[in-house]
Amino acid sequence: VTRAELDRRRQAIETSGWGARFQFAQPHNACFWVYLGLVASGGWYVVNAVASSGGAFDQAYATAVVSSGLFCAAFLAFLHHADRWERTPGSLALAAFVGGGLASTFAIAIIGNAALSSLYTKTFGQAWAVDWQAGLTAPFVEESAKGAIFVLLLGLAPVVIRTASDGLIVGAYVGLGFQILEDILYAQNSAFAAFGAHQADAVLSVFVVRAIAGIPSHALYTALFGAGVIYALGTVAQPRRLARGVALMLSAVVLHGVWDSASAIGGPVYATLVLLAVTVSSVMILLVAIRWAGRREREYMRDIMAPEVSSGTITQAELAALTGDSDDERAAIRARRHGTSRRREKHLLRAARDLAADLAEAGGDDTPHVLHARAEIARLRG
Amino acid sequence: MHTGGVRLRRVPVEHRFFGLDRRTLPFAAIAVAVWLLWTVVVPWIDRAVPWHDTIAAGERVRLTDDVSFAPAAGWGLVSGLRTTDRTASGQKATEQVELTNGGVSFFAQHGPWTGSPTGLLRQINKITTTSRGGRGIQLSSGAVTFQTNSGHDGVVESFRSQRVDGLIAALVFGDEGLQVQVVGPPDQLDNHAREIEDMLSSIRQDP
Repeated sequence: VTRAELDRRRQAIETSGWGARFQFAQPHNACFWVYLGLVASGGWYVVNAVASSGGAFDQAYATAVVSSGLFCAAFLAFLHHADRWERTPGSLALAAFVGGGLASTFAIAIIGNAALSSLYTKTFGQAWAVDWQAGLTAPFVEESAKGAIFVLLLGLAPVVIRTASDGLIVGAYVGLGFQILEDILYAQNSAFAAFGAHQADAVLSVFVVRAIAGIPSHALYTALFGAGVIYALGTVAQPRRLARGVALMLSAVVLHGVWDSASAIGGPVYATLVLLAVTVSSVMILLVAIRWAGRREREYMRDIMAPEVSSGTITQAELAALTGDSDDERAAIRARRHGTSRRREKHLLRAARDLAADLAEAGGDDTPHVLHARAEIARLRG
Repeated sequence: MHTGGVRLRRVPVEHRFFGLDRRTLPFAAIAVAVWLLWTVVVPWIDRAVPWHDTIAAGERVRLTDDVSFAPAAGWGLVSGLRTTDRTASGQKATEQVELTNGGVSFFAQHGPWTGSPTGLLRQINKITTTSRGGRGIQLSSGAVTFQTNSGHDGVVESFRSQRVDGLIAALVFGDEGLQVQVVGPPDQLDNHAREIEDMLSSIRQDP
């Protein structure tokens, strides 16, 4: 292992913020107090809303909590899988979820949506408002409200949230919180619309529609918006790219707007086609954003793990798999040592990622965790 | 090991501002600006913009896709589509219709219902009186049947609370239930009693 390699590793860890820990309570940080204020305000609204129903919609709430919880669990599993470069600290993910759910939804968006909708109706009339108020209200109010929470988290964790990939993941947690709490609000609305009768059926029918059409969801919009904020502001790890940042933020707003205006754009006949087009566009834009974000993370992974190739802990093909895509992973599995099963080689790659995480957390030093991670790789090789 | 937040016990003197780290202020300011925009500025503009969407004589408002009624001329339409309105989406009616005049609110809502009007009224009363805002409501001794001008039967019941009086009406058209709640100060309700009766009577299923 050369000195230059070790220096590059330390530099990559320092710059990327990989392995950095998140401390939520920061009394000297203005973002901490603003975050607390907004969450308390949103929480107060929710407590009052639930209490004021006096038990009339308990069945709707219970159904919404269970069904949204299942959706949330599935989405969290996906996010955990997608978070392949640097594991987002659990406390930061929780702060993002709670901030997105309580603060952006109930302390900002619900008030802004009502005021802007009312303005549209006064200005353009009832028929126009029926067609366009959802599509021209929610994207501006809700994306900026969720964006505000993301910016607060950026101020609370400037070392953890440094790359566009961090923006995608933390933004998704903010959006997921928004989506889940909004679903519970919709649950009350749907139960109310059915005169409070058959509440579970009313809530589940809405939930099924939202789950099926859930790809272009708040989690996706805010993931794009979060990555856009990182590009637009620039960080130590991500040089400023204003045009790309603005494009990603705008894409979140436009996708949200077109989705909410599908009936008005497509009319009764083509609305479904519009929804389909938004779904396909959302996935494509997300894939592009993931690809863009991955480039820098791959470089960090290469710099952190290259000395392990020189020391013989992992092979060159395994390093390529860690820093590459699924083709590189397949190539590493094909190039496995004689006597190593495919399954064992996959475990090896996962153990190598654990080593990268431990190295980042240790700042590149050989701590007991790092030594244990290397020993695990050696054990798997047999 | 490095940390993700600015968690030094003491903020460097050149960054100190009333005990806070000056470097965190721009992030907090952005969030506060968004909050101010949507919860203070836009609602203030909304309140400042005058509202006038007054019902003219002869206009009808849709309660469902095929049920409409004739609001009294001069009432303000807060939400709802007139039968003459055309939307790009093809939507004919809003889920809720609201009109107001002199402190009296006429609110209508439709939804799936396969039972009788009496059953619907019982369900509406159950939800209304269970929720906190409805706990002080005293219902009248019983519901009475009324008939619209088109011969459709509905039930209506009046209620009284500390500050407002009102009535709840329930009608059923096929698999669709319709509730109407009229609420206002007692003297204003008396002033508009005739108009309210006419509006309820004008509810009809359009061909």
